[in-house]
Amino acid sequence: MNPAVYVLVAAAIFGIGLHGLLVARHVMRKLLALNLMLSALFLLLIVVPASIDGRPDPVPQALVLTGIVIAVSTTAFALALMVRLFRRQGHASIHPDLDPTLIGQRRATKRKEGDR
Amino acid sequence: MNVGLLIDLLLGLILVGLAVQVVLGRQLFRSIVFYVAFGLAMALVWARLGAVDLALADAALGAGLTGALMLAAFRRLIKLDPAQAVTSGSAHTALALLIAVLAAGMVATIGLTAMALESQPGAAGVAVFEALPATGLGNPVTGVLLAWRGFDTLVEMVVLLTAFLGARVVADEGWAPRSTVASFDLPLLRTLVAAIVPLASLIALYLLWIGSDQPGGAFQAGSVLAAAGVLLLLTGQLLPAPTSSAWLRLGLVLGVAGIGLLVLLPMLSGRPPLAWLGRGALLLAESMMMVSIGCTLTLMFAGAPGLKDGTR
Amino acid sequence: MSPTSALIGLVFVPLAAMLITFVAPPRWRRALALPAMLAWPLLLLMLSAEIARSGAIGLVFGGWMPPLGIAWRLDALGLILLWVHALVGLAALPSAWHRFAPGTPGSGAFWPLWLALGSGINLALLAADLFNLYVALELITLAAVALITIEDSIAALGSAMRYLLLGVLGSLMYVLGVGLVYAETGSLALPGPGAGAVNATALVLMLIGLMVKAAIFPLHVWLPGAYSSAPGAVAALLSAVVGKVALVAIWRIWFAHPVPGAETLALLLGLLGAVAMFYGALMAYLQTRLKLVIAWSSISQFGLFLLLLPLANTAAFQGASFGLLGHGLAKAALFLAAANIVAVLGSDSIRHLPGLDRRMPIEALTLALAGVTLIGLPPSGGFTTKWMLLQSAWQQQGVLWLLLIALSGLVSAAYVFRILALTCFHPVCRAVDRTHPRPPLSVSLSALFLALASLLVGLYPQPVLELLGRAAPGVIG
Repeated sequence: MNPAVYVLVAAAIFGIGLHGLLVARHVMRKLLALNLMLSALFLLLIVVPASIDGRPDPVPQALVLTGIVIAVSTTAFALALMVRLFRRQGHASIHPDLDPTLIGQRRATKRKEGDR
Repeated sequence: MNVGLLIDLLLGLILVGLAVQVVLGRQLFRSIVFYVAFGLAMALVWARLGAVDLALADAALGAGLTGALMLAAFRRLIKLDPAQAVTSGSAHTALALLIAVLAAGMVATIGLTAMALESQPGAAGVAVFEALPATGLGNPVTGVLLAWRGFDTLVEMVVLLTAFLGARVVADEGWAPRSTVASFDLPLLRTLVAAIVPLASLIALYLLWIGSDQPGGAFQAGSVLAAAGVLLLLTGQLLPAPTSSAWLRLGLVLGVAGIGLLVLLPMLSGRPPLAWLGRGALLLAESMMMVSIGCTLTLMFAGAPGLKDGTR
Repeated sequence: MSPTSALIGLVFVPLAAMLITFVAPPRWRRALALPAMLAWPLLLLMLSAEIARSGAIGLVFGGWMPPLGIAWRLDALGLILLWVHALVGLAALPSAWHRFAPGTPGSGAFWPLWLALGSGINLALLAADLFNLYVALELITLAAVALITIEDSIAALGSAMRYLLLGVLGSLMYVLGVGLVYAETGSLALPGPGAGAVNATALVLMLIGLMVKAAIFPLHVWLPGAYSSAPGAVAALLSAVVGKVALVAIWRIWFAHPVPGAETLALLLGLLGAVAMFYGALMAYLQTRLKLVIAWSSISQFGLFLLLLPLANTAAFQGASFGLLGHGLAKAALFLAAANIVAVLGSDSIRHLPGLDRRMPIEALTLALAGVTLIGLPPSGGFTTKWMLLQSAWQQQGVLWLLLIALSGLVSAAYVFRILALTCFHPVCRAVDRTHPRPPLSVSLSALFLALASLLVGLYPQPVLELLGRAAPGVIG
């Protein structure tokens, strides 16, 4: 078992997920990207701590299990919120001017944050 | 180069490749499916790293149920507006790419440095292994989840319930629930469901039982139950109902109550907790949690507060 | 009842009530929630007496000492925020009672979610374990977002989604930091051992995650939308307590993990706080909606509280902690009053404010009194805060901080006076052609009560300051 490989893999997935988050407009793509980033972090949390007499450390495993359940709960709620948002405004994107996670084509308007 | 390293490299490549497929492309459905595949590959990685509890949980929850929930939400979007299947252009810029690459580099550095610097195994983990024999349990992860860090598990169950409540608040009333598979008259489908659902329930009970000594436990069991529930919903055997019965709601809170009592009673009684936390008590709390997890996730998939029999 | 039982009750009473209200039929939920909401503040009375006597109360689950088990710890700082939570929760009760009566949309889910939020807040203030704090913060964020979405406007739903997305990002950072701490030290207890290159990175990561939740500039972007589109009672609780829970976590983690180079980092963070102060105040001045003015004012005030990091001495601790009290009460009062104004006038646009002193005198008075605390005029609680912080800067010959704290009062005065000048001594605004029926008087009076309380705590601050002074070594080391 080579932990260094998995650290690099986790870092790569984190970067891929982050890129996906920063460029996506559709909320579901953002959720997919966030879930990728979470998985990458969980991988790090398991791989980095040392094993104990050859057996993997159970405490990070319990923490990650808790993290997975919380991630599933949050994703489920976010999906429902997305559908509701879509129903009300006709699209499932956040306006580029207001999207705090969008690094990309931001239309240069003079609108202040929250002022709509 | 030994076989182990080859396996790790292969798994790593598969994971990264799948992750790239998730974020690339304009078809949303494709991304979701690749995400499910990614989750399954993660389960393989967990198993490789010796975290079998996590492998089971991630396969069932992270890949399976998350994928099901995403597909259900996707379907709702499509029904409202078929154009949603293809997401409009993403805002690719060099800046985003730069930030992502830098972040990946930072994470890699942090991880590798942390691994290089650590001098001893985690004190908490060592303490767990020392305290484990006294509890009579064989699975240290179950011990951590239910005993030593039981309060975290309690809050986690409350988070699940809260997410359900939140989903109820934003529930899409305009979507009229209909049976989603019109052709459940196919004899093969009926037989399949008749075979799979009891088998799934049996597997869930087995996972619950075995979780005390081997990888398994309430979360894994609960998600298998939820998978059975999703199957029933998909084939029309169960239908979403606009109101929930008090019994169903009781089932939803059972899990929080179970782990809550497990955490609370030792504190209030003054007796040592191990006197309370015998295998029987742990199993009882875990079965309550299993029921809740199964019900909550099934209902969240249905997008409704209640369920009713679809076979009548 | 022993102090430890009371501690347990703080979390388990709202939790049990959440379960009960969830199972009960929707029309009984409001009534069933009431006993729990009245009961847990009573526990605070006993806990306060105990804290005054012995300084801090600890609790270890199952008798398993950390790092194996989880510990809770209540000190004076946590007690102060618990009191803010209790008072604001009680004051928001008439508003929530009226707005979420059985039959109104969203009322079924409101009461269990409100109790879940309360339970999570109490837990976050008691937690002495990094991961326990994480799950508590997740519960708080999820419950808060769900409560905001009850409003069901596009603005509310959009703000809720942004809050959720940013919140998850923040949690990501925080969890990574916690994982690194565990890898290095093998323990999740807070306070834990510090020092080491990994721990500095872990510290920064955890701080970034918490700064998202505390809406510290530049990670503040979710706050104005979320606070301004939430229902009144929810906005009151959010502004008074939820952001501050993360702020307190920042303080605790910062002082518990001294790292090399901390002074430079503290200076940077202090400057960031100063930028937040002025940027928030500027944006508050420029807004055209009352609720947005109040929301941006929060961002400004959080910047001020971050100054505790560079100014780390007892006087600063007393000042900043006291500020949580005064500011929390004042903010909640403002949001409750603003909700009433929207209910009656139909909008919170400042063009409709002229003549408020004649149309809605109680609300106008509430705005004035709370505004006094925000500026920091004597004898309000805000003045005590500024005074202690100035003293702290003076003791350390920190001329820069002295200047910044003094200026903060000025910039707050700018946006507060702008609002007050509009509401008072003007002829009644003709832009509003008709007013809606008023909410019950109890709703207006409860907001006024909070504003008065924020002033009164400044009149007799000595006991609280002394309590905080004794607790200071436990927090800032």
